[in-house]
Amino acid sequence: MKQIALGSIIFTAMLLALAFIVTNDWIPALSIIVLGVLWSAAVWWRNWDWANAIGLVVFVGIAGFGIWRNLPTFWMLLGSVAALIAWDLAHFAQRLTAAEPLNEGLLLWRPHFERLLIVGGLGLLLGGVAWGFQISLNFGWVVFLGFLMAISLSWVVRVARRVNNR
Amino acid sequence: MSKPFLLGLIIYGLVIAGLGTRNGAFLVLALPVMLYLAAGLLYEPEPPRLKITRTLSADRVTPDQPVTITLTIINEGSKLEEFYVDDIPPTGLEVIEGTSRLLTTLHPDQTLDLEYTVRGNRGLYRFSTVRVAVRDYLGLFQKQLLLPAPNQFFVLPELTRVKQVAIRPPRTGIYSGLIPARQGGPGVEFFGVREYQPGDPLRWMNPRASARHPESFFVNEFEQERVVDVGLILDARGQSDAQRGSESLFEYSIQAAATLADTFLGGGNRVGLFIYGRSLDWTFPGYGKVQRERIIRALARAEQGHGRVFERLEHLPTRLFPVRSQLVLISPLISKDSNMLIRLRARGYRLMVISPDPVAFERQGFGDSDSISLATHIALVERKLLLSRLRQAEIQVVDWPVDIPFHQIAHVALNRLTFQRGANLL
Repeated sequence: MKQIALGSIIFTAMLLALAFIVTNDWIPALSIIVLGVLWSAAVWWRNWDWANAIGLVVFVGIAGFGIWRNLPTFWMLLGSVAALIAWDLAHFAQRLTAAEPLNEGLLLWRPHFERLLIVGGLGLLLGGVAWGFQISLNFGWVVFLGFLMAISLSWVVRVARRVNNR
Repeated sequence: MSKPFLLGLIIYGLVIAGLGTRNGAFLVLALPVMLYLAAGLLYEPEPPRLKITRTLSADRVTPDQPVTITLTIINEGSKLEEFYVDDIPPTGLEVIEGTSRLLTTLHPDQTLDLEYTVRGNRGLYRFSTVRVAVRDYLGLFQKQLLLPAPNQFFVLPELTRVKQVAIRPPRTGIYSGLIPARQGGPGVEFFGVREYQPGDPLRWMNPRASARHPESFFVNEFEQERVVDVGLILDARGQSDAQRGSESLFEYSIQAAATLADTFLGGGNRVGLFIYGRSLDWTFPGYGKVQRERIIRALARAEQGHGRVFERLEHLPTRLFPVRSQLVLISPLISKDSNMLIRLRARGYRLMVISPDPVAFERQGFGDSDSISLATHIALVERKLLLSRLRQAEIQVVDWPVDIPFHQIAHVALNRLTFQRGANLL
């Protein structure tokens, strides 16, 4: 399982790095590869939970940076979905390592992969569709969405507290 | 950091970036993350309804004997997609086979057996709860709880067999036993001659004495054998113990106490156990196999303590022991103990001290150097003086170098009465 998680991390790093290589941005591309190697090393040797969190934030951040640098949006979307899957698999590998899974191949792996692929695929599809339907927002909508975000953030904090208190 | 919180932060950051730069592509990046979070919420696990029972292959074992622990978990609720169970064994137990942690999917009404084998040193091992956690398939939301599954088992102290420990306290019980009672009557050993009384068996007749005194008949008297009260006092004071690596002299004291209790109870005596150190742990005196089990279990759970109150033997509650009964103290001894022991002897108790030798025990843990040899020599002299002082007070002292098994020492030093001067094997 760890090997699959590592593979997905390296795939994510290569995917994002390739987008920068195509535009001859070698420094960000090399940085992404180095970060990918660091994340992989942390997962392989140390099983650090925080390394996964940082890895996800950094790689989604790189995808955002790519968008800011006008790289292809679908490529960046693919990169962020790959990062999400890599993060999930690294966590799953951690959970399997911590316990002794019973019939792991049948009972845990397959349903997890199935759901992950469905979620990842749907996310990619939804992102692609959303990118196809571009609408321009006036100031009122921006304020409304900002308000919505504030409410959702408080909800996220509440959920996080609830999870921590269990 | 919890996973929903992390994902929430990423979503929030991307949306803010999108709104700030008025670039919809950032919002596009946030969509898969939102979907992932929504999927986690959709499949958020319900609180599990489980029934857990713990069974043990034995409730009392010897130190090297393994115990198999079986946790039977029945899911009485809905399907648990990712079910994690972690049974943390009590400290001191080593898992030698199987695993105490498991991750699986648990369907409704499914029964899951978690089995593992442990081994441990002497002690009482209490199991109380099992940690279970349920998660959705994506592992975003987790419900964790501790469920009661109590049980316990004893790892009994090592017990060696000693055929006989010769004691002769002044006070004896009313029942027949094996301890000479200094009273004439039915018995085995010759005690004296007295005038015939009606009812005396004719086979007791002493023809020689009767022939010398034609006016009356004389019969032989035998020494009665009775049971006695024995009070075992186990020294569990931390300050009297000695360590050699992970090995403790206290374990040898426990071994000796268990062996002596077994021997005395085997002779039909009434035996009580007092563990002096951490607190007042008193096993009320009794007879027979039940009492043996009580004492062995008390010894199995005995722990050392560093209580200031019990720093010296002065607080030994002597009222628990009948005057003129036999007391057996199992202790490495410290120099301050001699006064109290002499006082006990003066009160009329017959006192036997089994003293595992802390100097020889600790000495083996050190290398060879002049300073260590000198220190050992001084400690040995101090100890010899202490033991000699006790012997002068007519306390039977057995100086036990623990490298020699206790039953060998007991065979040499305790097989015959040596209550005047005690035994010294060194």
